Amino acid sequence: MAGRKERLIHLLLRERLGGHTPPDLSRNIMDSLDADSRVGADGHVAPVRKLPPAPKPISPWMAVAAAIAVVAALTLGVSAWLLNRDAPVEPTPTADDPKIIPSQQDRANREDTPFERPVLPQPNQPDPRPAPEPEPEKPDDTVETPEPPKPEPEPEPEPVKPDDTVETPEPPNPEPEPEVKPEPVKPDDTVETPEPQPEPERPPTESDTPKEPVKLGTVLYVAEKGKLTYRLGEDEKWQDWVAGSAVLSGMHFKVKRPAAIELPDGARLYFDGEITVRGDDTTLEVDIADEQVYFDVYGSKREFTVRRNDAELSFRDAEVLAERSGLRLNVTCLGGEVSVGEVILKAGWSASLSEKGFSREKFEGARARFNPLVRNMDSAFVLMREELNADARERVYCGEWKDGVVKGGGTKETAFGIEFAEGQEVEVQDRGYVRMRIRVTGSEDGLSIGFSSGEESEWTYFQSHHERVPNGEWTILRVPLSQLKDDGKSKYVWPGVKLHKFQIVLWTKENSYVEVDWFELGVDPEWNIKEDK
Amino acid sequence: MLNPAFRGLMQVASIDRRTTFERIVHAHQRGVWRYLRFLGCSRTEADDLTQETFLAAWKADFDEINEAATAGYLRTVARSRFLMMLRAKGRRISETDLVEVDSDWVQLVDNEDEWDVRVVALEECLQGIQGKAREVIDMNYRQDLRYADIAGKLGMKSEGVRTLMKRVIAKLRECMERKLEWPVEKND
Repeated sequence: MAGRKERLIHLLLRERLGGHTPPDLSRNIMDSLDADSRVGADGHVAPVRKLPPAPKPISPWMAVAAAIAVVAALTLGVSAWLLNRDAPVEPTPTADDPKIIPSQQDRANREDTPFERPVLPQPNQPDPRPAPEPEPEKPDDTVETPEPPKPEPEPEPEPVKPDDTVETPEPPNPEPEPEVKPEPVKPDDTVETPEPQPEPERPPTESDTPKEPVKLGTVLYVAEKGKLTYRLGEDEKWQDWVAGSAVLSGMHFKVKRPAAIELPDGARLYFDGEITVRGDDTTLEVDIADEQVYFDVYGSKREFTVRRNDAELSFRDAEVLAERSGLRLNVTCLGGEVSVGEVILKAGWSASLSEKGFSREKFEGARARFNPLVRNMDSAFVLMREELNADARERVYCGEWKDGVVKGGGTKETAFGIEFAEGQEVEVQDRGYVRMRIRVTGSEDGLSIGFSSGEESEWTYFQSHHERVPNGEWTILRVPLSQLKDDGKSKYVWPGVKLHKFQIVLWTKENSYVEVDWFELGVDPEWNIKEDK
Repeated sequence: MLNPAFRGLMQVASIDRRTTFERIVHAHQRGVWRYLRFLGCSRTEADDLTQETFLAAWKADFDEINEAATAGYLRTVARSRFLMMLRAKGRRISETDLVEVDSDWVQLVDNEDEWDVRVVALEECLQGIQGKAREVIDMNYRQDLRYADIAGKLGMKSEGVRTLMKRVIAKLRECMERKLEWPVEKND
């Protein structure tokens, strides 16, 4: 209780001394309600989605007739919708220019102006800026079940806004961004160096030996009651997956709840529904038959391709969600960037993908991670993720925050330091790890990372030291928490320790700095612990 | 095709509902925002979730019984939204913790009208904070300086600032406990 009282005092002080009073959001709220209700000029109102009335007993022929009518109506509706959404696809004023869509991090760089930020769409206000095409009605807009009129939280995970752009779209903004070179870097247990690929010693001749299915990786995780099944060919029967089996090129997978496949280079794809995977040491192709796939392939050297019918996206070193959407794919870039033709989709943006390329780009921001698959996987594997967005700025005590990246170094002992958000201490768990995306310049000898725990009187600093961190390129560094050690007491960290600060120290100070894009603390599944970890 | 008379009734009903809801928004949005901040939201997160809370309430078509029930309902929705956001960000917090936070909020703030009483109490308590302690408070809250910057200005170590802040806040808490008759912490 003392902590809560102090939290309240903290808020009162912020309001009283800092002027952080609650903004008046009434206008935004009422505008968004109007948008949601779609109050037309003629007064037609559809304010609340109600549960369908209880079905009345009907005779079989009536059911058949109704089904035919519904199918026909749906077909018409979907066709009309597809046609309509194809029409205004190309809003670019100059088709020759590459279309650069600013990332969430570009936005995060702006001064914090929360009161001015139009958080919800305000359809009644003309937007002087070039809007990214009109939002079509979401086809799934009516899926949401209405809440009972009782005071109860509606726990449905979907964002409720009909048009859930968090921020007003800004003009395509070819402004500088942290030149995130999608250089593939291999994640491994400690320092991920861009080590040479296990050479593709494949002779150029096509007519070589009879092919054996290539082993691609392993199934890392299947959610409870997921019931993962597989088959190697279209004609084969679905079989239950046996834990520990290898994922082979050409396998079809079907699962009811999320499952995850991990490749030898640490890349992961999480999926539900039905997919087919093909590939080798340098590529991985995924065909989506149903539902969605979430790729977390930072640091992998492979080229990834995700496909549905003629919609196809290839990318590397990124975090991407691909969802089946009718005959198309809906693609959301959660990290890094992906492109088709001249259209580049950066972190926080989503778009529809057809054989013609991207269309209907939309900024989702943090909402992109609200997708149930991403959210489930985040909660299954991630204890904490720090994107270093604007809200992190005040917690960074070493390094300069800019564009969602913190850069620090020089003569300072600590190059990067951040306090975790209030109340967000992370408890060390068995099989825990920290993963970060950093770029070191200078300090070729190495760096140390460390976490603080405990109160001032009992301060403990757990650290680990890493040589051979690649220089001058974005790198994924992944360290098992079990390697963290209190050097003073020569004691390794143990489960239960609460961490609340994270630091990076460069061994060479002069002309050296580190840039940190994000970091996360996660837990590996029990069966994923390798001997060398 | 709707009977015109029936359509007219629907229009009237929807206008009434909107007016009622607008009043609820005006009356409760600050409270919801503060509550979300109390749960641990940043300002921008609180902005977003406050709006989502009301949008969800609108869709749920809840019955307004009285102010307290409405406030309680909105807090429940806000808490649910907050939990969803945490999960989406991969942060962990148990629902039980949140329920406890809620009961503390009810105990400490009671209702939105009481907020100003707390502000006045705080101002009186601040009178008793002088010297370096007051400087630290002002620099942190008024000037929005980080501990490291405050430490640089005052010739202290960052940890020293942190410790001093903790002490000052604890002192303010004790003062507020006396003034507002909050239950006193036994283990302090």
